[in-house]
Amino acid sequence: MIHLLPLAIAIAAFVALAVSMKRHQRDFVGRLLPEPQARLARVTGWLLLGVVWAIDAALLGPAMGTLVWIGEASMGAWLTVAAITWKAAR
Amino acid sequence: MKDGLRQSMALLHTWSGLLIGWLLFAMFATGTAAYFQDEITRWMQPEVTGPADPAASAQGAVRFLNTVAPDAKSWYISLPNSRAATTQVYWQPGGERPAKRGETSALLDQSGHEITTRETRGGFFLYRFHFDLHYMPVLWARYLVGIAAMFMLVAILSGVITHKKIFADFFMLRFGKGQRSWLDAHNVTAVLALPFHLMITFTGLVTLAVMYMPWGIAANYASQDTFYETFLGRSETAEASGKTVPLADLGTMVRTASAQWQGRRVGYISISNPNDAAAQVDMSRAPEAAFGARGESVTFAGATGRMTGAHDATGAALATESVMIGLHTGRFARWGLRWLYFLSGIGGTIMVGSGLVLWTVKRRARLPDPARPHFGFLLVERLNIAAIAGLATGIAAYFLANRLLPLEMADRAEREIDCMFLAWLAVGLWGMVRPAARAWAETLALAGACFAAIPVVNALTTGRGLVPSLLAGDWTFAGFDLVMLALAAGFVLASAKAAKARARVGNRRAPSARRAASS
Repeated sequence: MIHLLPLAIAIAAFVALAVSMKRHQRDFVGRLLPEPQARLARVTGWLLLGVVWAIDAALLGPAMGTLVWIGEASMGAWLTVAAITWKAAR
Repeated sequence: MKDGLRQSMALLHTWSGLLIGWLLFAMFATGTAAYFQDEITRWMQPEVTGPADPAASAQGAVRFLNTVAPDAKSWYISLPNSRAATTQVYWQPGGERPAKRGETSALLDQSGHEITTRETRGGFFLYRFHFDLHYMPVLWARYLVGIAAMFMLVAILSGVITHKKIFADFFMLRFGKGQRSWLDAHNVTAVLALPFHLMITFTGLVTLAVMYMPWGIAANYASQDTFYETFLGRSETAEASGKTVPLADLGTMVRTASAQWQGRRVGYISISNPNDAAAQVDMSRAPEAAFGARGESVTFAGATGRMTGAHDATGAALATESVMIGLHTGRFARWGLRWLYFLSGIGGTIMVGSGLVLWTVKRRARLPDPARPHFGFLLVERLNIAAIAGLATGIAAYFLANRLLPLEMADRAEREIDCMFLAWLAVGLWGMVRPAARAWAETLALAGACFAAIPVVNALTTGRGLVPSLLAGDWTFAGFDLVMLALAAGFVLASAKAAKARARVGNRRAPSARRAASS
């Protein structure tokens, strides 16, 4: 259960990062975003990943927190890829 | 210059990856399974139920050892961790003759009764196979595995340079596009768990570093044993006094040691000269209780049960090694993190497998005559089938053998393992004699069918099938069966894809052949 909230934020982070990339904007927002908005998405994505790390580190300490953070980030990225692949196939 | 570097890295990546890819695939697959080795063992011993308390298990072990080997030179007790239920004991008999392994070890339940119903090496075999292999001397195997891990490290680093677009293509996974899809799968599985792959490869080397590079110790210590005594606190054993004094209560000592470590579990106990006035009891902390795999230990006087010494793993180098081994084995991981480890491992297995397939997919298009590839191509293609579909079928056969071999069979545990390699060999041979594209579809379907058969056979041969396990909330058994079904679905899907790809290649080849004939 401890992984659910960080995982949800990690997914949000990777979706934001994907939205910041031109090739995925069509799938997620239906149009190309202007550069300032893309940059905002990129910064938000990285910030959210930072938030996930902060939560894990606060709950589990910096060492175990970092390890768990990497695992959750991988999982979040996987689920994001699955979502993108599924959306692109439709 | 930049392109030159990339080209040389691509060459390095392709060939280092290919050369060790088959071995690496087996290491990744069985190593990933090893994250659940205790659960696999429990599934393979369906007669054993319930959890086990460390103190009670220690008392049970002593009761057993007192009946079979009261005058042994030493006893070794490996207590169950929180996910296991059985105690492993070994003893060194008092006589001069070094006894055979099977006669001086036993597997016990919590109350000290030997478990004889179903002889198996369980998940522990898959764990050992991922670095000791089988049917060969352990030393050779470990050197082979070390070379493979070293190449893996090279392949990861050169891969990051070769597949220059992995970060730009971070989220790209396109299906049904032939070579492009294989490249996507290889890239995505690599990049999404890149920290894991780097960590697992590097720390894997660290676990055996002292064996690969013994010179540091050789230059500074008289022998490896002196080194271990100095650093890990293994104390020298005293001579037996010859005066018989029964061993003090081991359960109390286990609780004392645990209290000394803020409630962390005791993992391993060794007792020298049991039932002698000079008996000595050494206990070390369970690897699962903290990040570092090597931990604290305490010593008791066996006759009185009084603590005589305590030792902590100290020093920066030892702490680093201890944490790296801990990171690799993930023994401390609870459920959530354990699944993350497992899924990352599956990703790594797919990465290696897709890389192997990619080698052939890339070259098939460039073959002068795709219908009659040259020997090297054929060899790689056939070995890929044997390594990927063969190993999968082999592991499924290992689980099936556990349920289907007669319980009273001699050397049953070894026969289970033989079943795994026989199935592996059979699939390998099958892949050799069939046309390659058809062989992929058939062997993958076979692997899927074998995995699908596991829950069925389990339900028919034990009372702990999927439905009763789910109703009883037994997640170890239910989870095992569900993972088998998921693997079955994965392999059947892969087989269907392979069959479809074969049909497409066939269609494409037909017009080009016609064109070639007409021109």
